[in-house]
Amino acid sequence: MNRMTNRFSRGDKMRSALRGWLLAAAFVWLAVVSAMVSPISSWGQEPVLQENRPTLVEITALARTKIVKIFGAGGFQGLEAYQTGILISDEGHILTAWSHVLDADGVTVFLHDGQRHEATLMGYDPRSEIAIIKIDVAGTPYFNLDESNTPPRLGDLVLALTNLYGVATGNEPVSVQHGTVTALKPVEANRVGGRFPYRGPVLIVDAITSNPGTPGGALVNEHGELVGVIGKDLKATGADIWLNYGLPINDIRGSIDDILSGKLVLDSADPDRPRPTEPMTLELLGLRLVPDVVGRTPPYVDSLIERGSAERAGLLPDDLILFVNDQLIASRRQVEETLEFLHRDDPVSITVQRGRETLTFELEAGQ
Amino acid sequence: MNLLRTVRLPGMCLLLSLLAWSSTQAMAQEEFAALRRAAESVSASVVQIETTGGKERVGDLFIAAGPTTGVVVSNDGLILTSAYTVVHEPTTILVRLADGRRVGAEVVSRDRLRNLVLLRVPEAAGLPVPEFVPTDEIRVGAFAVAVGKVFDPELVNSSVGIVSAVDRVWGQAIQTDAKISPNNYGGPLVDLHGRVLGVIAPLSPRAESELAGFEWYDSGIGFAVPLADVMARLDRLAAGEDLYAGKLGITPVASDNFTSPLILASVGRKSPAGQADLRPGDEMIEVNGRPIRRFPDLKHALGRLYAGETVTGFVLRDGNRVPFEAVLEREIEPFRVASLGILPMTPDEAAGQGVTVDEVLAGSAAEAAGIGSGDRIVAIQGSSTTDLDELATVLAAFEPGDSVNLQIERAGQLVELEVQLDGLSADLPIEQVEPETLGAAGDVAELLDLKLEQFPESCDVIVAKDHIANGAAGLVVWIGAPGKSDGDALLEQWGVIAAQYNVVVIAPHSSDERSWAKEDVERVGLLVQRAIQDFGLNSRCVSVTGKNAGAQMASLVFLDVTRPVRGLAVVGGGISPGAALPENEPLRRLLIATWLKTDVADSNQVQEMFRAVNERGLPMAVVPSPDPNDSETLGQIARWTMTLDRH
Repeated sequence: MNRMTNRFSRGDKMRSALRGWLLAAAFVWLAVVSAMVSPISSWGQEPVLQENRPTLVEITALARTKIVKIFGAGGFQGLEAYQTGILISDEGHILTAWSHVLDADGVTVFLHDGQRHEATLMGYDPRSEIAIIKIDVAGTPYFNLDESNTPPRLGDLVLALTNLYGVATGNEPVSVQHGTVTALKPVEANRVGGRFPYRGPVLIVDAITSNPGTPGGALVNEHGELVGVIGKDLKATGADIWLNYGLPINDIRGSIDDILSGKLVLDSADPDRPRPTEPMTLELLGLRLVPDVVGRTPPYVDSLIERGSAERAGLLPDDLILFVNDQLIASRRQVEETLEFLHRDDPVSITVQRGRETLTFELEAGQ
Repeated sequence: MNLLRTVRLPGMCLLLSLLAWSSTQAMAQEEFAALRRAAESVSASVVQIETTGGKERVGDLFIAAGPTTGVVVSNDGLILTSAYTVVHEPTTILVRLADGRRVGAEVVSRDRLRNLVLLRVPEAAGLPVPEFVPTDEIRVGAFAVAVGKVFDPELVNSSVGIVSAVDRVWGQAIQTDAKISPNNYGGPLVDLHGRVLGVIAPLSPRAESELAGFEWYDSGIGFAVPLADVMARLDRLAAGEDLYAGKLGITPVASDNFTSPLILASVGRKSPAGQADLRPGDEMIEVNGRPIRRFPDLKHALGRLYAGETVTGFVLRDGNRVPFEAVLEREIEPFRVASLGILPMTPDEAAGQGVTVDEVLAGSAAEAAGIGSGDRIVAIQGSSTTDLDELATVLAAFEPGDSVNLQIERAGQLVELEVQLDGLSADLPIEQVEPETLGAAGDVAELLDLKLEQFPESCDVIVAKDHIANGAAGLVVWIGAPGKSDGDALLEQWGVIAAQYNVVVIAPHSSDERSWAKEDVERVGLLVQRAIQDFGLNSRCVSVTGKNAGAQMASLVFLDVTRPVRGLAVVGGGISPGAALPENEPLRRLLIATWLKTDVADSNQVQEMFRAVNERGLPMAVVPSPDPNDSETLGQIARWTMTLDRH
């Protein structure tokens, strides 16, 4: 159960706090400019140390009503069957991490007051690894993404609200942790079964959030605004440590809008529809993908067959396949399944992510 | 956007950044200083505790003998600490006072529910008792500082966090994100004013041992027991009384604890609930002023209470709110399942209109009352028994020895019988089906392979060639020696038996060649479910059989409450005395049997095991077997498996 996630964070707390402040000092010009945009900073000016700290307690109380616990698939091989979600509309749209938990037929959501609902998956974005699920409710509290626009800055106080370790049983609300933003940078990171595809800057926080149940959790700032969503477990490639991070909400608005607008929906075609007798294959396209090690291996290009269609079209190793003929692709396995329905004589359009770019290539079967 | 402004207003930015930096720095310093003051203000009430002697390890965990922390709770020298301080059973406990003196401490009493220990140190008399925060004033999101005294008897070490949640671990604890570890176990969690919120202790909602929750140290999650809750019981603890979890003595009817209302399935007659005249069928709706809708609500209401404490509440009975008052107890007489002694027809064409009797067990209550094969049980004591679930629920309301009126349908006529119920027995039915000569194993059964997508390991399956997936056949899970099993040998061993007794046999492999591991439990559990599904088996007739090295593994599979394994069979060994045993639940109706050589079966060790299992109310049979390796034993296991669904 315990992944010894935070071995690295066990140092003297004063020292690490000091490090945080030094970092903050190094980037202080940024903080000041942002302060001009939004001049209230409770960390600096509000009576944080006065009686009962009303602001943080109140922010927590309100934010907790907008967070849900999600239960779905898992419960074996060290994969937890639970995570966290964030209500982003009063109609039950829930932003969460796109993970194995959502693979279940029945995904169950518990609201802060213990109300239980069954959720349906609306869609997901493999680039940011977020998903949106929906429950049938009306009038619930939620984070209004159109209002939360204070960009996060280094040194900002953040609260992390999560279904940490699944410790909140029954009707219990989620847990809240505190920390500061210690870095806002893109990261190179891995996890079992693949690389982290997201290329934008992520919020690195000093709250210990890399733990079972936290994916899909909220990072909330001192104004009670949603600034980030906690992603799936990640290990930094260089330091080989678990990352306590979130995706900045302002940067994944595109993903969220694409899912809500139906651009990134699931393959709803009948799996029993007729298949061509001579289907397309990876080999015919000149593509070799990374080995299929877990159920959801991301479809990275491993290598290209020399002079094959893919190589000639300009694909490169490490490209991540996002779409095959406008069909959103979730995993390596799904690439092959999608190809099985295509005739080998028809051209195939493949959209990949390379670095921060999205590129589309037209391929056709080689001889 | 930020960059643009920077370019436009460089001078102003510089000025502002200097201002902001100095003010941020000042705030930070003030902030740290205030938190430091909060920790220091409680220092005089916090002591360092050292221990000598005792065990080096507890379970799998090495216990560091380093100092821990305690909190003064009365001015006559009572000090509260975490049970972690004494988990290794030290020979001496020493408290280091602020002046550096080491003085001896003795254990006065223990809080076994929240894993705390009360120590008496006469020399500590006069030390100040800290102010504590009333439980209902503890607010989520407020600062909380975890305080220890492990590095220096005079100076506190502290870790700053916030209150992450209250009412955790079934209402027993405050949760914090301060770094909680042996560095502050037993110490106070204080608010910004230095008032004590709680006493830090490793806790877990999933386990009850004194080391539960230890694995979560410094992981952003930690717990403290509200000091207000302890102070309310300090008189009992100070008088030397150990405190235990309080039990009510009910079992709920619920297929899904999270969706169904809390209807009582059984009420122990001598239990607090029975004494309070709660009855099977009552719906629990309120306990100590808290509304109860689901089973977890009741766990929340009772989880914080101790034996000897009184609860009041209401149940809904025939549409009326009926009040009750009960005094919780530490031990509840184990539940014993009442039984008629019949095996139901499977599949049963009459399901929905009654339960058809397939077989009446020899010597049973049903036999004595004249119930016969083909009779259809439609009601017991006026409660209808339309299907097996209902029959089990109705029987759960009775105890062995009760006389009940039984309505049966026999050849189109409604007949009433009086039956004095037995206790559920795990014994092998007396009449064994005589082994027939069916032919060679390979002629009547085949060896198949069952594989789960998520796991690389495969699993051998023995299935009769004439197997029908109609929900009648049982499942024997065979846990043998670790490593790869020999499929052909397995077919030779089990083929004829599988065909003869209508069971499917699965033999999972261990993931490690040399030994079974805890990690294998979930895989075996998933294999059980897959086998039931794929082969259309009777999920009420599933046993796990462990032989020799596989016995412990089989026990673990049996303990996994999420799987429908009802019977545990152990061949050539016993259940180790330290093994955890499941709670006897009326609706799970678990059975245990061991096959042992005759001389071993009579040994004291086996008798001791038999007694321990029986104390739990779990039916257990010891079957003497001249040679536990022979096919007769395997045949008995198959037959026993097919009789697990006895009512």
